[in-house]
Amino acid sequence: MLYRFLKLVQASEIQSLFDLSRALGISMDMVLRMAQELSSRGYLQEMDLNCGETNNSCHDCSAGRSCQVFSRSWILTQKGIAAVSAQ
Amino acid sequence: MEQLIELEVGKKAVIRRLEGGRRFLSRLASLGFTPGTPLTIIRNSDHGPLLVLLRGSRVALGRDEALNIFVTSSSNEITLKAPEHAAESVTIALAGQPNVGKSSVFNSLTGLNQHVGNWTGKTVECKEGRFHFKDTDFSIVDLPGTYSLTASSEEERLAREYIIKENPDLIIAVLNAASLERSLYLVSELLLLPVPIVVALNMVDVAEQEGVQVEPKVLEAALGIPVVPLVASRGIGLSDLQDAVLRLYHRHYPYQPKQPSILPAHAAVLEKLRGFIHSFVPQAYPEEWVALKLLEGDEELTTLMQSIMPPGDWENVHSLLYQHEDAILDIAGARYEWVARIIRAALVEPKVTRVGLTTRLDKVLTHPLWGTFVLVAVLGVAFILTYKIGSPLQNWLSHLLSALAQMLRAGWTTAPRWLVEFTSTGLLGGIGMVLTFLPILVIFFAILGFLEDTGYMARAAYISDRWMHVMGLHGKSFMPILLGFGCNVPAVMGTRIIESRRARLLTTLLVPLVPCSARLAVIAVLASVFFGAGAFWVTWGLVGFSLVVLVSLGMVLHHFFFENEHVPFIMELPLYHLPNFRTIAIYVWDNVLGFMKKAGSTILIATLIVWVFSYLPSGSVGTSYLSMFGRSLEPVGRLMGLPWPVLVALLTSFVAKENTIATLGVLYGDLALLKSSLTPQAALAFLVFQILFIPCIGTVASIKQETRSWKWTLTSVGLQLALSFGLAVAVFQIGRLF
Repeated sequence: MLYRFLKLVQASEIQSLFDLSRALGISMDMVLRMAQELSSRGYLQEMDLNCGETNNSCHDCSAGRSCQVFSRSWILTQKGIAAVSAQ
Repeated sequence: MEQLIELEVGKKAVIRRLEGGRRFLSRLASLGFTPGTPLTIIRNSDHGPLLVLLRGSRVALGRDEALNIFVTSSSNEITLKAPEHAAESVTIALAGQPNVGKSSVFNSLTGLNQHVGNWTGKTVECKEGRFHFKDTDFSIVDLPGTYSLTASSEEERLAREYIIKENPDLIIAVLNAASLERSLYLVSELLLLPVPIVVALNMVDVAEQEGVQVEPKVLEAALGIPVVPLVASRGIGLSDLQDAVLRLYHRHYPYQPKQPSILPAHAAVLEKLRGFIHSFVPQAYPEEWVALKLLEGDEELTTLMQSIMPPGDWENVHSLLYQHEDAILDIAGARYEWVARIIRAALVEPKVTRVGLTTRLDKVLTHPLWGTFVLVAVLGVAFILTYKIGSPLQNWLSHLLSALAQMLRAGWTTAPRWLVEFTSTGLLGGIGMVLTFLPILVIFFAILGFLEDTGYMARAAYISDRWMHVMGLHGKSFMPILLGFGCNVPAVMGTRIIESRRARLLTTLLVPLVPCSARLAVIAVLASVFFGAGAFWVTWGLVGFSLVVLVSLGMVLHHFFFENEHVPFIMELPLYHLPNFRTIAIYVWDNVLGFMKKAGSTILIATLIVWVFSYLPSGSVGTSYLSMFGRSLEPVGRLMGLPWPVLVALLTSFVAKENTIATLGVLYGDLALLKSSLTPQAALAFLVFQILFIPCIGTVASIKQETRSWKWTLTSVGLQLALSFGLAVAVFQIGRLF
């Protein structure tokens, strides 16, 4: 199922967890868990954009929270692409 | 860590590392000397062999051999101290994820007969308790809540160490019936351990309230192990659970667990792996489980086995694991399939819950066509509300300020003229005018906060991503562009996540074209000044226009530079929920406070500088230094139908976008005068120029910082200046034809 997950991601460039849950026939909760597992093993990379390295300078930023990221996102890593290609 | 030979008589320790040749290590292993094994020193004189108590046997060991055995004394040991219980009692481990009601089960079973366990070296607490049922004593240990047994946290390490080393008679796996999928993953891992399991299907009442119906008998048949439905918080089903435990303990239950399957290819690899590790696996550990965990890449077991095995033997294992590095995808994937299969069997289709509602709403809201329509409509409603509520208030504040300025000029006759002009034109006309934004900003941020809190903003991002793909922006470029709608500065900084320098530079070029919230607020105010009731359509059109420019430039850049760049991408879409008005209020307050800070610092300083140059040397704007500079720009302005004060206002927006309004306030005093000095075509050209104009100095500084190149920074500024100017001229000149 994890291979199917990675293949689906690679095939259509962008997927929401909702798309994936529909395609895999499992709940979004489960898909989220799979994304976290693949992330921990290096097949996906979770993007940290919550001001990342600029954390301190953002504290007093006049843009306030208007730049905050409101959902988590992942990209397929080279390891993920290689794993799908090798299958 | 110390050498075994250094320990005094009576000291307890645990073997950590063994050194020496393969034959020597094999001999030690055959005697029971394997890492993780506890021992006690019985005799250790200066001469002669050591006598140790190991695995219940006394073993004599030569002093030279003892030099190669490294141990840690028990005071530093991370092993678990078994709970004290009567020898004839049944030991139960209570396992489960956090928030499944494990503590309720434990408390209901043990009552007051419980205490916190003494787990040496562990920071995580474990409760131990006892209960009596049908002439049998039970000792129960409440293991920490864990999501899996991968040993990635202290809780998981403790849970799996306890099960492996303390070897309980049974495990009660507590599952939350309301989120069965997540709970079952842990069961899939527990089933690999050689300890019988009873499933306590807890919180069935909560599941029913949420419309989730689980069929315990079907679940039991699918798992092949006893399943007992429970409502532990109300004591419902506890005696059934105790009965099931007793029956399983006495083997009065046909225990046939159905484990996740393993592909034949991996089964062969596992057999080979078992062959390699057979002589070295610590006694407490099940060999098959260790092999599987090694294939999964379990860090703790890999380190353990590497420390035990002689380098030559470990090399065989390492080489095999390297060849099958991706086996985890099949092994863990099979567990997910196993969970999905069981869920399909045991779960009755739920009625509409929050998850169900989200699923149904998303069918429309994330649909490529309908989702885009909804996004456009939501944007439209946001602008309508902003104008219908915010604009009248903004106009009222603007008139109030003009009246105040007039009163000052007429009534404050005792003060020097420059002070009267500074207060009425510089402060009230400039900063005051910017503060009239507040009603519009409050409405704008309240709408954004509302959309975000309901979970819609993630859908808006998802839908707009489809348009980003048209211009070839994939994966990592998408997030920085999206961030740009809030503020361009973090968006430029966000390009750091893009590894390819070319893709990063090109994304940096596109980010400043995204209309940030400050630009949108300025456009909202100016559109209202110039177009009155039609402001809504103009703002909507301008936002659409700037996105078309962004997409078009992106397509051009993609055609020449982005080709073959392919980074697949996943987004989380949170569940929809009712908005929390306190959260929205905090969101609005944070943003308004940020705006006020900016108005009191950057905008104030820029406004004062503009006022000074518009006042000197004669005290009249028409003959000021600023006017001399401004008039030199008039040939450029004529192409767009713009007078010099408007061009100067645009230039001051380089410091902060809001300065456009402040400068216009200083130079015109009343924005009604501004309206009368521009034709509708020129006003539209001005707005196009404004929305696409070069970014603020903060963004330019970020571009320089991120690209570390003046060439790219100037390219970015030049590109946007050329685009904004060219399109503003085009809009004015085409407009004049009608």
